[in-house]
Amino acid sequence: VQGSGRCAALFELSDRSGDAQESVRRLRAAMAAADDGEACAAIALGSMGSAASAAVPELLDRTVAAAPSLRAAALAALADIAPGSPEVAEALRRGLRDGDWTVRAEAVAALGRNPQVPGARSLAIAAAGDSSLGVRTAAFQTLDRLVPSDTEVVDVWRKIVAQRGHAGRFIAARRLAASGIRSQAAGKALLAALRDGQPFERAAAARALRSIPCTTAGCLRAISTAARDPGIQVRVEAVQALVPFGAEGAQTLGNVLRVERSSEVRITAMRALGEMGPSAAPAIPGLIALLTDPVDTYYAQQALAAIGATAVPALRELALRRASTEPQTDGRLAALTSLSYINTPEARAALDEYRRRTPAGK
Amino acid sequence: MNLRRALPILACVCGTALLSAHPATACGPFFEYPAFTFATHPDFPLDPFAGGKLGILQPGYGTTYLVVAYRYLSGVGLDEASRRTAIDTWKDHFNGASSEGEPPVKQWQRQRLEVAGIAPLPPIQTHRREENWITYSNCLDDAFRNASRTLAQRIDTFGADNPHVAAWVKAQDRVFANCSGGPSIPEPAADDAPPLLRADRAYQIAAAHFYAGDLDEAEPLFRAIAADPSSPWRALSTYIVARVLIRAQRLDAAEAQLQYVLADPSLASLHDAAQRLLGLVRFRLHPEDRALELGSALAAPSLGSTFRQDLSDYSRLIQDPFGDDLSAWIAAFRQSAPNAIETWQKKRTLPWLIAALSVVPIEDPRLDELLAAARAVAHDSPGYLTVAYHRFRLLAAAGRREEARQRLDSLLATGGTTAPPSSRNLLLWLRASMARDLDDFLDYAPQTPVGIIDGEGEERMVPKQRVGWDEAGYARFDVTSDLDNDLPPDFDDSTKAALELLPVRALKRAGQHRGLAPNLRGRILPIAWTRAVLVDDDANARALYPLLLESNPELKPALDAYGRARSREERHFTAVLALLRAPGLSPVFNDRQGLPLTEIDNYRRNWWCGMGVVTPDDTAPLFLGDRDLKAARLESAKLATFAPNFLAGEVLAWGRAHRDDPLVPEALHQAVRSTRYGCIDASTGKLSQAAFRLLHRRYPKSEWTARTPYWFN
Repeated sequence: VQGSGRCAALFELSDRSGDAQESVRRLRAAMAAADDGEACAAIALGSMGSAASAAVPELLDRTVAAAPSLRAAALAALADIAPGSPEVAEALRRGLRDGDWTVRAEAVAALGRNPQVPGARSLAIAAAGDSSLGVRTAAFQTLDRLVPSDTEVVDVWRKIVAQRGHAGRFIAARRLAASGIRSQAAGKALLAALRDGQPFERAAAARALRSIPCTTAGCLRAISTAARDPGIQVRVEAVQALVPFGAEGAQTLGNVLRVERSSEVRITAMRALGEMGPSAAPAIPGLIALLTDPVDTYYAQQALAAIGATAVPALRELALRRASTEPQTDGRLAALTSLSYINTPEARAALDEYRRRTPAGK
Repeated sequence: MNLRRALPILACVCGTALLSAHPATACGPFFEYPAFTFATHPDFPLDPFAGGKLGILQPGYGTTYLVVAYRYLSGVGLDEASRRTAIDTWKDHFNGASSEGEPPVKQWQRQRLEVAGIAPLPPIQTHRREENWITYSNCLDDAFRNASRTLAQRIDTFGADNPHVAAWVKAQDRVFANCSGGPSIPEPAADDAPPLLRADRAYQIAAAHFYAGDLDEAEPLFRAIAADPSSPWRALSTYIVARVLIRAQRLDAAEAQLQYVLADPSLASLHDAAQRLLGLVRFRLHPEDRALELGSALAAPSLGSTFRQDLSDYSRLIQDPFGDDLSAWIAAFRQSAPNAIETWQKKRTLPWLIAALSVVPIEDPRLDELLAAARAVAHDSPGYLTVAYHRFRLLAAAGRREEARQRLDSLLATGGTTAPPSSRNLLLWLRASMARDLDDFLDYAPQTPVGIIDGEGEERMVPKQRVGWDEAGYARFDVTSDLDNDLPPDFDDSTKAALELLPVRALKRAGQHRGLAPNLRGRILPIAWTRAVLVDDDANARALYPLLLESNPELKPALDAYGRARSREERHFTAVLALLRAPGLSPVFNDRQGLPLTEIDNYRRNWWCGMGVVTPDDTAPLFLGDRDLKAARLESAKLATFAPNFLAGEVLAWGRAHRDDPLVPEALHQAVRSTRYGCIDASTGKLSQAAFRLLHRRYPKSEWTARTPYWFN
């Protein structure tokens, strides 16, 4: 079969043929033809596992072929056909140094299926710091396979976290955070990441700190600083990381509302305050100030409603201020809406007072 | 994270009917977006799905589709009659149940005029409203069909001029007056009326009580007719008694009556109807038993005449698995239940293989076993595409990307070409997600939309399949015709997100990718150029300029000053002016539904709403190297501002320093306009005011000043 159906026919040989040896013979012949089906033949042989062991020599040859896709296919196949072979182990090590990221990613993934390769874990840890995102991602998956024990994998992540300059350092720290493990080392690595030169790393660290969560005074200081970061996304993540700090976090968020120029950050901060509920009371002045902003007012109202009764006096004051002269766009309407959301006896009394004082139609 | 606030979308403009050539269906505006994969139903036409060409099954499919899929996956499929039934059911779902041709109520009103002395009637209202504002369909189509048929027979027998026939029609008019009003009960037949018409009148009186809701009166009257061997209405009345009991909410008695009907061979003509009604009664009386019964019936090799009713009942009843395999499978597939893997291990059936493949995590020790089972599924199996899709997805996720790529390429080159469009798009998306490099990514990224998603998120068909509008103003679709899809190729949201992560130099390369359709190059190049301007990458902005004019010639007037600029600073200012003149220009995809780049969108979908610093390890295409990632991060940090703030700020800075530049008045006007139509924050008003003041103070006689009467806060 030629053309587009060629690979399909080769896969059919490995997937559904009854006679394994005949399939191997035909697949080796297909590989020898050195045409566009070569990589497919290598993959098909790999699918047959140890039944295709006769093809190991020519597959080893293909690990240094010119086409990266053929090198990658051959490495993957070898890892499935002859996992214990020293030649395969050497080919995988060579593959990890390949100039093409797809080959390195395939090699590190194959390493996960060949735990007996000497130094497999160290090789994977090194690959987790690869310059290619695809290789790093594959390496972390391989580490998961190579290190099935939770305790050990945490140790591996910690080991990576401890290596300054390792490109996977912050990924490992974030994994520690995401796994819910209260790791001091991870916390430290993430706090260090908040000072990284890359805004992306700082943002990711702030996000990870939300899931640890770190609530020490040192963390509060570091996250409060991140809430003033020049990068918007860092600030967005940082203001959310302030939620577990309760009133102290709300104090910082109130300051953020006063100075923040990005409405994305302000809105996120207001949502965070809403999440905190009554403990967000220190941010009430900041929220009240935003009731006059055409965009922010909705989110400020929601946050004030979540804070509840504590917000009533300030809202009442705004609602009644200059009630007879100013138009409703000065925030009074928003204050009234917030009071109606809160709906406690005090809030209802404030609304009644407004109605009594305000002439009909004003 | 990009802040894309849909600022104006919530406005409700119920008066659109006044402006529209077709009936308004709802408040709006509701924007329509291309759909690349239907998630709640298969592709159109639905006939191939009913015939077993299932494509890649989606867990969000409606129950009736999953029932049909399960039957094919289990090897029993559908016979021709059942296929037609399934298609009709789906057709009704999309268009509402309706009969072909003249509505029976209108047919009755026309036919009654054939009788001498009968005057036309105002339209008959078939719905009845209760005191609690509940409205229900009181007189069904069959009632009018029955009346028309009987009248035709009576005219044949007695003649259209017979006064007894006229009396018959008047009595029937009183019967139907109860559909929405009443009570209006016909008088008993005259003594001299023929016996047949006297029997008819007894039935009409009973029916009038029934429609008037006087069920205590209706029941004995129908029972009396059912007991009268001489009445032509004996058989039907036996069945109608059950309907009376159902309306009276005496379901136990109705169940017994229907079983009585089914047990009587002389009532065989009513057995199908009675069976369907019994299903309804059991649905209410014994929902769990009925669900189990339906689950078994719908999975059985042979389907009966109640298939349609069963499908309908089943799709209303299924909430939790009831114990039968079909219900358990639907629940597991829909809810991505992890126990699907154990069930597959026990049952080893194709439906459960699919459910298991769709949930198995890559670290699960049973993954290899599942992949081996998936490999054995034959190409001609109805489940092949679903199995292959999950298999390749899992292979890639487990790090076997080269195998996944090669196998997917092979499938796309062979079977993928005949796959349903939604499935083909899923395969393309999967292949793009494992791209080796940018070119490889762009080879697979474009997809052909399969339809549109309206503002409420409901999937609809492409406009060509909209064949008309029903009386209530809802679009009617032809779900059985060939998909005549003329929507151009486009990028789905994940592809757009991936492209937005690219640095300028990669975007420039993407915009020149030879395999890309012109309309897609025309979407990438404006983004690349805008971004180059925003990050002050003069070299790439200049290099992109001719490409941009070629892909988007409508931008020539907006960019004329940029083309003439001589210094880097002048180029930057004229680029800012070009951005102001062309509100469709943005560093990110800005979906404006075909609105020209140079036109203002009144719903504020203009320019951009700020870009955050992205987190590439979560979302970036794997082929991006650290060099590109670093460049992208640095660039995106510079894009973190709302368009009006950036543009007005740049114009003010240039304008203050270049008093005599003839372009400044226009730029100031455009800057003020941007604060009206772009994304704003608390600082925008001040910039708007500053631009307004500079324009009015310094250029009081300029035409641009005259065109700028306000600033915006």
